[in-house]
Amino acid sequence: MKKFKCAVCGYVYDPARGDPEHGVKAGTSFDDLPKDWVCPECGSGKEMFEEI
Amino acid sequence: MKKMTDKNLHEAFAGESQAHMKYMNFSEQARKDGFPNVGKLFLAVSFAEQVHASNHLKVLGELKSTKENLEAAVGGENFEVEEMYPAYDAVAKVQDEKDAQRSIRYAVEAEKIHAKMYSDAKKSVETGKDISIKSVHICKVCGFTHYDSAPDKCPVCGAPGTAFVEF
Repeated sequence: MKKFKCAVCGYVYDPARGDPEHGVKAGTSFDDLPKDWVCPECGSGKEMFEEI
Repeated sequence: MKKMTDKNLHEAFAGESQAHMKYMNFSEQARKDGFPNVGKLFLAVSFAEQVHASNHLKVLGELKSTKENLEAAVGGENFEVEEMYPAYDAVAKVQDEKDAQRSIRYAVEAEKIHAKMYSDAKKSVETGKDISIKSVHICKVCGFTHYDSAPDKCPVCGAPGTAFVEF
């Protein structure tokens, strides 16, 4: 699964890790993240993320 | 002051300032990693390094009147905007270092604002008056600086208004 990078702060969402601190299990693809999921570092929305 | 000690103290000041900054970041990371006491240690020692840096600064005679300090601040910010960062940005582009280009861009945009704020503050202090501001708002993602309110969205980096810290 592809990683996605926040264009605002550089945080990388790694599907292999998920975002457990915010209830997202490991193995969750970026597309499957909830619509209202935000960057855990800066709070930016999914639309600010780019595939890497 | 003798030339060698002056140079050495300047380097020591730079080193202590970097240690202060690194330890503050290490403290935050330690808390995230689940080691709050290590975090406390880093934070406390970062303050110690600040004390060291401050002592060197005073011995060097670089802590002066507010008017003079503001003048030094304007000079420092202008140097970064006009010389240092444009050069660093050019090299980062040649070396295709995109993350460095971003952190440089974030710094330059804020330093432009700081130079203007310091320059206006200096004019005010020269007439004996403090600046009339209520608060200062800083974007924690990029350092964008704004008086009295935070925007809904940072104009430099795009972070939401919730990313702003108020002073």
